[in-house]
Amino acid sequence: MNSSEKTALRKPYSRIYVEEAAAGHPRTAQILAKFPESVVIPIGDYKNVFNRPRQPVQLQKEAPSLILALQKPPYLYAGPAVCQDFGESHFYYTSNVMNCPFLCDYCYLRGMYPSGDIVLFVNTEDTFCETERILKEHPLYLCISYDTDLLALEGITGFFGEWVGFAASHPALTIEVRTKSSPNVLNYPVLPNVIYAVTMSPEAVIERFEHRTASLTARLRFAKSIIESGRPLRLCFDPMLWVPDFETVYGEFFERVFSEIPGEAVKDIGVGTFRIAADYLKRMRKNHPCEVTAYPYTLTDGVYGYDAERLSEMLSFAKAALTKYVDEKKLFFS
Amino acid sequence: MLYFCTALYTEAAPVISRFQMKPAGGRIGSVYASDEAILVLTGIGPVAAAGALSEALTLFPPAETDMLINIGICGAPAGFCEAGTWLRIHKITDAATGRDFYPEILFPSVFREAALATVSTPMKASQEAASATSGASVSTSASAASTVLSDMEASALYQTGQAFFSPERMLFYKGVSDFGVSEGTRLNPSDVTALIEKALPDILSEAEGILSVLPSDPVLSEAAETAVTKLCKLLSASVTMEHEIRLLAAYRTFRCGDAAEFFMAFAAGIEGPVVRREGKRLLEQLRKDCLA
Ligand code: SF4
Repeated sequence: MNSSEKTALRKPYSRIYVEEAAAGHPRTAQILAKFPESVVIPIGDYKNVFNRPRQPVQLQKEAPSLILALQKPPYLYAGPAVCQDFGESHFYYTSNVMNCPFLCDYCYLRGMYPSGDIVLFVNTEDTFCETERILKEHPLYLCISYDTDLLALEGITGFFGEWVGFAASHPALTIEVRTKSSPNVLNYPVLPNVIYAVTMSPEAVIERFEHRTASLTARLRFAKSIIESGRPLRLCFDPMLWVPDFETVYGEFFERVFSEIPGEAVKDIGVGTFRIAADYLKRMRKNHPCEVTAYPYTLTDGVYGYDAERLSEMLSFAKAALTKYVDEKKLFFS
Repeated sequence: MLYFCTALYTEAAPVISRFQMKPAGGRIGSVYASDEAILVLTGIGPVAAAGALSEALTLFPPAETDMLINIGICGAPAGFCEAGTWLRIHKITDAATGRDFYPEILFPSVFREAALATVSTPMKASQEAASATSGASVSTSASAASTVLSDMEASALYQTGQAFFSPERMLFYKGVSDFGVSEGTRLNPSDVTALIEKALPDILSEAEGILSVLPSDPVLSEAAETAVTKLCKLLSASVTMEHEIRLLAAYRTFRCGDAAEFFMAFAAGIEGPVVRREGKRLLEQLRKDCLA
C-alpha cells in the first residue's frame, strides 16, 4: 500500500451488536430489517462492548456501530443543576439512546462515554410505564433528547413518534425534543405539550465545530415549519462559543435568525455559553484535542468555562442583541 | 511495530521469513524480532499463550501505536466452510469463564467475520465452543456472524494484550484447519504453513492500512515543541505553567495553523530566563495574545 493512501473506515452502522435479552424484542427486528447488509454480533450485556477499555472513541464516532439493548431502571432522572429548567418545577430527563450521530467538537458526550458507538434501548414501553407512574404523583416536564439527538435518529428508531403518541394521551406530561437536525415532523399531530427545541449557531460555528449537523439555513427552515404548523418552538443559543470577532459573528447571526423567525411566535429561548465538567474536559483534551477543547478555560466549582470577563461580555452582548427581538421574559440564561 | 502471535512454528514460519526475523530470547515462549516486527511463538493453550505474550511484552514493550496480530488455525462447525477458509474474529469467548471480548473492526476486512471460542483442550473443542456460546445466536442475522469457531489461545492473548493495545489494535485471523470431528480432515504441518502463506499478504495489507489511519500524530509540530521548551525555560515555568503553555500552543495550532512562529516571536522578546514571578506575568500576557 502506498503510504499516502488511507484505508476507508467501515460504513456507519455496518456492525450491530444485539444483547441476548433484546434479541426477541419486536423493535430489534424492525431496526435490524433496516440494515440487511450489516454484520450482527450477539452479545451478553451491552456494557461488555460499550465499556471496553481504551476504545478509539473518535474513530468510532465517525463510523459508529449500533448496540441494541434493554434499558434497566431507573428510566427517568431528575434534571441536573447545570441544565436550564425553563421555570419547570418537575424537570426530568430520559434517554432511550446513548450517544449521538453528530460530531460536535464541544460535546460533553466525548468526555462522558468510553465509546463512540450508539446504544439504542429498544424497550421504550418500560420508560413509558415509569413515566405514567410518576405522572400519577405530579405533572412532568421531560427532556427526551438527552445524551443524543433523538430526531436525527428517528429514521432508525421511531422513538420520537412513540413519544408523541404517548404525549397525546398524557396531557400532564410536557416533552422537549432538542435537535440540531432538520427533519420533517409535520406528519405528527400538533400538540401543545411537545416542545421542539432547535439549537441555533452561526453558520461559521456550525461548519467549524458542529460536524454533520444541519446547516443554519436548514435549521431555520425547520424552525419555521414548527411555528407555521402551530407547534411550540424553543430556540437554544447554547452553547455560544467565543470566536474571533464574536460580536460581529453573533450579531449578524441573531439578525438573520429573527429576520426569518418572528420573535413573538417563539415560546422561549435558552441562552448559554460553553461550560463543561472538569473531568469531561480532561478526557476530551486527551481523546479529542481541537480548538474548543484546547481553549484555556477557567475552573469554577468543578466546571470549566470562559473567564468572568469574557463570560460577562458574551452574555451581556447576547442579552442586548436578543431583547431587540423578543421580550426579556422569554429569555432563560444559564 | 507489529506484534505477531502464533502457537506453532508451522504457523510462525511464513511471518519469520517475511520479516527476516532472528531469535530474540524468551523462556516461556520463543521470541523472534526484526526492525519492523516481533513474533511470539506461544506454544499451545491459553496458559502458554498468556505467559509467552506477557514475557515478550516485557522484553519488547510496545508503543501505543503498535498492533497485536494473532494468526493461527482453528476448528469450525461441520459444514460452516471449507477447510482452509480464513476468517477475521469479532468476538472471542473464553470458554473457561464464559467472558466475551470484542476486538474492534473499524475498517472493512477482506475476510469473512466470525465469533470464536477459546477452549482448553482440543478433544472437546466443538462441545466447549458450543456450550460457551449457547443461546447467543440471533436468528435475525443476515450474515453467519454468530457461527462459533474454536481455538486454544485467542482469549488469553486478548486478555493479556488489552493492557497494552486498544481493541482496534488487536487483530485476530483464523484459518479453518478442521471440523473437530474426524482426524482425517486435519491439515498436516506443511499444509498449515501453506495456509498461512496464502493469507499473509492480505493480513499485512489490512494491518498497514489500519496503521495509516489510526491517529498517532502529535498536535504540536517539532518546531512548536522546540519553541514551547524554549519558552518554558525562559519563563522558569513550573509544571502547571508548562501545562498551560502547551495548551496555549495547541489552541494556537488549531486556530491558526502552526504555533511555532508565534511562540518563537514571543520568546524572542524575552531577555534571558526571568524569575518565576515575572514568568507568570509573561504567561498572562501570552494568554491574552493567544486569545486575542
Ligand atoms: S448534537 Fe448535541 S448530543 Fe449530538 S454531538 Fe452535538 S452536542 Fe453532542
